[in-house]
Amino acid sequence: MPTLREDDDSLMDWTPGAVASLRERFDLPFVRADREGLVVEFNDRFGTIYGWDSSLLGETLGMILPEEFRELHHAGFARFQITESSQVVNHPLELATICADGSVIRSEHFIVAEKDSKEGWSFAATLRPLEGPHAC
Amino acid sequence: MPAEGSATPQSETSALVSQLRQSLGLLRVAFDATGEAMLIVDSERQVRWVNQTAAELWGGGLPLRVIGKRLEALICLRHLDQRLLPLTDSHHPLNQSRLGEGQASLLVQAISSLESSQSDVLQRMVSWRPITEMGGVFTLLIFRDLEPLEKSLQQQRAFINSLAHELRTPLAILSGSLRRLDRKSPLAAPLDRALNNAIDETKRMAALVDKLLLLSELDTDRFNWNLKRAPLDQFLDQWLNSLVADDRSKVHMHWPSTPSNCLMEFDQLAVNRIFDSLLGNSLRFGGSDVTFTINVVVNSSFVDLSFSDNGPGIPDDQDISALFERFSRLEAHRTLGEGDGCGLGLSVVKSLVEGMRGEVLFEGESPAAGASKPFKVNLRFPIVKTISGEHVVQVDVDPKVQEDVQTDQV
Repeated sequence: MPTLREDDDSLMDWTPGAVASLRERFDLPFVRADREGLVVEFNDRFGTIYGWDSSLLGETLGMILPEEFRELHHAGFARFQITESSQVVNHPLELATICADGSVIRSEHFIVAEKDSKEGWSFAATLRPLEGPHAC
Repeated sequence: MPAEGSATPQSETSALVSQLRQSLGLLRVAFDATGEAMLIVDSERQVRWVNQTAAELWGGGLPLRVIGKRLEALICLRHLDQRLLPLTDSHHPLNQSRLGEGQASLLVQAISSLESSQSDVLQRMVSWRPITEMGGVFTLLIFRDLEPLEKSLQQQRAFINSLAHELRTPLAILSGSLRRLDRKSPLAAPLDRALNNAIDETKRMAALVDKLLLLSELDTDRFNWNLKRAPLDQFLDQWLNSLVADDRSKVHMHWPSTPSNCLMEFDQLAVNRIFDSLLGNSLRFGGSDVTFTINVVVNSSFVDLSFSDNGPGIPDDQDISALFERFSRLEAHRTLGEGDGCGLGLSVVKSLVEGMRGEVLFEGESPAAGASKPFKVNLRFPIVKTISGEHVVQVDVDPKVQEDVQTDQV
């Protein structure tokens, strides 16, 4: 299987559909938070790479972000509730990601906001580890 | 089980969190809507919060790209004459914020643009405010574009600055030529009088241009401050030692009975200029027997230097504060024989005092009807640090600025 880094063409197309396709193709880690920023699901790959288990469910997504970003994260979520717009969605963002053991893996986050008629807004982030054994 | 209709503690907490979230969201929207760029940095100079305008300027529109970076990795600040304002400079907003809030007109350059072009240099009114209510030391920095009126005023002051600069050279040439002519004397009496008048007027004009230049430099933040931290008595002693013996004998210093070592942040030349100007004023208008008193009062966070003389004072209907406005003189002194006649000396004093974070206060005393009131002025300056023996009572010195602190003399 080719690595994501080798697949240059796919890296050029950062659309939600393309990211979903890449996620399946390369088995990328994935985490979803509800409208309040609480983690509602993540895939096995996310657990494998970042070490989190089910105890993360129901916790704030800020847990996987460096401390200095948490204020911005909470304010950003609160802002989204009012404006339904965000600067961080639909394009890749390089961010340090905190693992369950406290270590840090520099990763690229692609965040998509999705609106469900029943549940309202949720935020799905597909991650690409940029360093460590799982870098791709 | 709670009664029907009554809220459980959990639902109350949930409602409170929801309310707080909404307040936070509204605040975020409001801060993002402003045209001013705002940053909050912590004591390590790391950016902890930005609004959208700051993110647009220095993070490609994404606050995430700014958060966590050190201020010096984002922007560099310059004086309006392009001189770099490094973090080690006590005039840097982060150092100034240790003494309280303030603002200055500065050039702001994104570090990312340093190698690309100069076009990203922005002139902004930079305000700083210490935030101490949050259990840590933070500084709020606000970068505001200048209003049209402020821009116009800046241009006007820059014009005066250039004009004063341009006038200096021809005045120096004129003055030199007149001195050479003077050495060719003896001239016929009428010519000699005319020559002496020309020399006097040229001197007066040179003094006027010097003061104008100094004021315009202070107005446009182009004044090259050389601030040092040292005990108050050291600054005052240096000034006293710079006086000729006759003038020094007319100065009476009154220190507080309990000695207190206050560390002040002054520019010695500016201090000399302020005190020279006040003393010169007293000597000019007070007659040969005039004495000049400086009363030093040390408070917890500031020092008052109260100046007075036993000269004729000023008329009761004259406002002392008006004398510190530009081109302001007492009607009684509007003769060429008294003083330099330009009415800028005391406004220079005021600008220099304010440039060192001080303020000029006027102590009102009501004299008897028709009598003159004494010339009495109080200069108030913030104390940077108070040291009692070896014990530091109040410490707020940035380690980088500490190089300037002459603690060995405390």
